[in-house]
Amino acid sequence: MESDASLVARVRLGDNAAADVLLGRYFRACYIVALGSLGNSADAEDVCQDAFIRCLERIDSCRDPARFGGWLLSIVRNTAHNRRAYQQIRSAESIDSHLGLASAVQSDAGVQQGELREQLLEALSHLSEAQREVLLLHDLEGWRHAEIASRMNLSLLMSRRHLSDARKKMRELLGNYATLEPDHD
Amino acid sequence: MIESPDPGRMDLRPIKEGFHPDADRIISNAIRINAIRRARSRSGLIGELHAFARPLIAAAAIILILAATSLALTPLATQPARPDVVLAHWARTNHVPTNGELLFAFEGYGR
Repeated sequence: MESDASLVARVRLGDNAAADVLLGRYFRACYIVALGSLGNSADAEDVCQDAFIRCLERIDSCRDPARFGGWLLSIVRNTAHNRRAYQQIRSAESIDSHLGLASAVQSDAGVQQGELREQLLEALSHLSEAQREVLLLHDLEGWRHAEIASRMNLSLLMSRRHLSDARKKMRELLGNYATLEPDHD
Repeated sequence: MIESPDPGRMDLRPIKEGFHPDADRIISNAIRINAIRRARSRSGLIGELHAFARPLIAAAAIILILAATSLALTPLATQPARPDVVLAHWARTNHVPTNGELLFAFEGYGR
């Protein structure tokens, strides 16, 4: 598999095929980070597209091409943050109006998938950005702590810490939520 | 909902279920839009350079015409007279040449 650094070098020379491979490699992670931040698939897709355009425009300013993934995720994060701030200005609805998730989840055992998703996304919105990203990349995308730490410019210890804190907070918000197989790292 | 004391991996799969983002479309859109913007900015840059260069080219043309005209009007430098002719002239007129005139007449110390 061609390295990120090599692909970045080709993108800088105007190679669209390299851009396609590079962005495709991180699309899922970018989408899930945007979705976790915005809670809406259409917005997450828009944010990904905007972030990708911005990334290609600024590819020359990527100081460490070997860490392209972390750089791209930071662009996605900032783009999502800006969109959320814009949406919050436009919407008078407060995030705090959705508190009380634990009782909602526990009281309805037959909760529909859509509702469950809404509740998960709502709970995620109460995490810090770092906690949310680490949780999503680790538990949903299956990234290892070493990858997360490298791509998010964190230490391994902080990656583990964020994951632990995120899970604890999610369980506080959602009650005893479903757990999959034990950690892979 | 499965209750488990295991503080392991959370099942977050419902977040993605039902969502099928079209990665190919999003990526190709981004690449296409970037290519269009780059082409626009490049043509804009060439256009700006062209607009900036036009008066410079006009000024250079005027300078070239003036230089060519003045060169054409300047008479060619006359060939220096031969030393024997100069000496004969000095002898006829009883002129005592200066060092400079001697150097000029004999073209330095070569002769």
